Amino acid sequence: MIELRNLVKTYQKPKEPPVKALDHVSLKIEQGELVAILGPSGSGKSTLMNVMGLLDRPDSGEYLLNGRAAHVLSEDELARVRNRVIGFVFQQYHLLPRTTAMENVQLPLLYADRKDYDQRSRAALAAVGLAERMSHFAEELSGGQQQRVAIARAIVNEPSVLLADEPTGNLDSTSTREIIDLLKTLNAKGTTVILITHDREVADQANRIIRIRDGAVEADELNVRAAGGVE
Amino acid sequence: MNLSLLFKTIARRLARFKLKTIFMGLGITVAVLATVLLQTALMSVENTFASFVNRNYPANGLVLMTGSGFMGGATRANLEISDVETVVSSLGIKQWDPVVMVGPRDIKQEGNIALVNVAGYSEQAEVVRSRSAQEGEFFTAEEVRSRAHVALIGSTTARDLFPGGSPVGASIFIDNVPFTVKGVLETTGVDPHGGDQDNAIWIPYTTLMESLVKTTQLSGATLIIDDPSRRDEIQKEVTQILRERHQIGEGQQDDFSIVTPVSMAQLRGKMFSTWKLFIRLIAGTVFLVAAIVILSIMQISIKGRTAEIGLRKALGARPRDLQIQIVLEVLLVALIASLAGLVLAKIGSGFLASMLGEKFGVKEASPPVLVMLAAVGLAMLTGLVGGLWPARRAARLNPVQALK
Repeated sequence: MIELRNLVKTYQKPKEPPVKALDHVSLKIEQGELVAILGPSGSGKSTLMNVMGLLDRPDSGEYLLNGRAAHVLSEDELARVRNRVIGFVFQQYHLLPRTTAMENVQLPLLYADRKDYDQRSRAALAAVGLAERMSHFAEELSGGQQQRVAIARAIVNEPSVLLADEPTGNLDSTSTREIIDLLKTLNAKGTTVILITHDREVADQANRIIRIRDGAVEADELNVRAAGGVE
Repeated sequence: MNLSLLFKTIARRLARFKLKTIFMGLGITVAVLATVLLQTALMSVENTFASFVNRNYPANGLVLMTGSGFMGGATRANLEISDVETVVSSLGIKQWDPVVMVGPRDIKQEGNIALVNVAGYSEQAEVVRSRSAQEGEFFTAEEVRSRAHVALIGSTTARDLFPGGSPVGASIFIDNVPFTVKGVLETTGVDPHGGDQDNAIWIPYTTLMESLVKTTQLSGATLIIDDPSRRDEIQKEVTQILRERHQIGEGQQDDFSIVTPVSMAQLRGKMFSTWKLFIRLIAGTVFLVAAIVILSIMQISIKGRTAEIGLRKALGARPRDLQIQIVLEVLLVALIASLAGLVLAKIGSGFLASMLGEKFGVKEASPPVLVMLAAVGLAMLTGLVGGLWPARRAARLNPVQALK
């Protein structure tokens, strides 16, 4: 479902040598996979996530999403794909303040033109186990709960792929386990989950680990332990 | 975009960030308030002025005044009742009313003394000058013919001379000449110079000319024309008759003047056009300031909402969607703020009217609906001008940068 061919992305800061954030990256992720992209900070994994999430364009290379060339889409088409096909989960949750859990979950539905937005957002909150917190303001929830609201927001439009950028980076171990379990559950229901992390332990939960270093794929292997555990 | 969700989102945001909403709208509220209030005040003054003019210079009338110059008096007074009678009989004018003004006179009534403007009119004044008696009766043709000692007094005069009682039937002394009060004149307020028109005494002009000042000279006369389209023609004929009777030679100046409603309307237009321009300038300025206020508050607001805008983009907002959302937000503020301005203007014009009414006898004009609509329209335009640029900036934000 996701195919990257020779992606290159270079950042040029003034008075500094150019940084190759992506250096001819090629990889393929199939529908329903649970993949971890593992790398230290500065390895280019965030750039990879931004390009895969259609928030950023590669300088060169091809990106096929569900068989369609995504790197040539117009700005409006990109927005549409982000809205329907991709769900984002961020390290800092990015919930809107002074806005309830329910309203936060409804954000993507504003751009989706669906009449049943109340039912959908209710169902998404129920799926993450926060049905009874829907009228709480974001800042009234714990970190783990906030991230669950963010996940509910990511799945409310039923995307085929979930991009989670350090989703447990700000959480304690209990919440981390909850979030990982939640992502696994969603994956088990068929959603492709891509977990971007620098944390070996988190990456270990995935069936496949892609290691990134200096903008290039260093290793791409099945995680035997987790894969075996799931099967 | 999902419109019902969009409006909910905007309404919630405005309600939750009340202070920002209020500050953003304040400029527009003040602008609408100032514009509507100034316009109402101007209209009230103009209406009052117009009703004064219409009473003194009726639309279908010609006002003849002794002496040259606009308000008369530049030359020796020279207008006799026979002049006017000749004019009306040769032109077939049926309705007309002469006037003799003698200025303030001492009025005595038992212990009370007052200084009151006295003028003489005919019984036709009631119709020609649209002022009847609000109490008692107007004097009759017979009373004018027989030089009866009857008087109509203004409501201010009535209050001064007869505190607490009805003046009708009582007697007063004008320069020690006794008169019987027949009625109280309809209250008309203050003239454009601030003179109280209700501090007046009207008596038959015949009586005035014979017993009070012993003159044959009129101050003027108002003639009613049946066919206003012939006004210019009639004005020429009147001029010709009077010049002949007064034996004014070729090239010599008239010793009378004729004022028409047309010339009064021109004067009025001149007087008020400056004020109208002034109000437009003020309105333009306050709305410009309101636009700048909105622009700067929105700019700051957008800066503070960078993460939100980045997030919305990540979640599927197109640049256009963000623009629409932000512009609608500002327009909604502009609408609410301008409605608040209208409500305040309604309250304010009540206060203003009572103040102007007390000082200048100005009556409150009905709300200037067109100006109100224009003010709301201008407010929306202001919102659009103030909101568009920040909205475009927001729409261009790079989501990767914005989410950092």
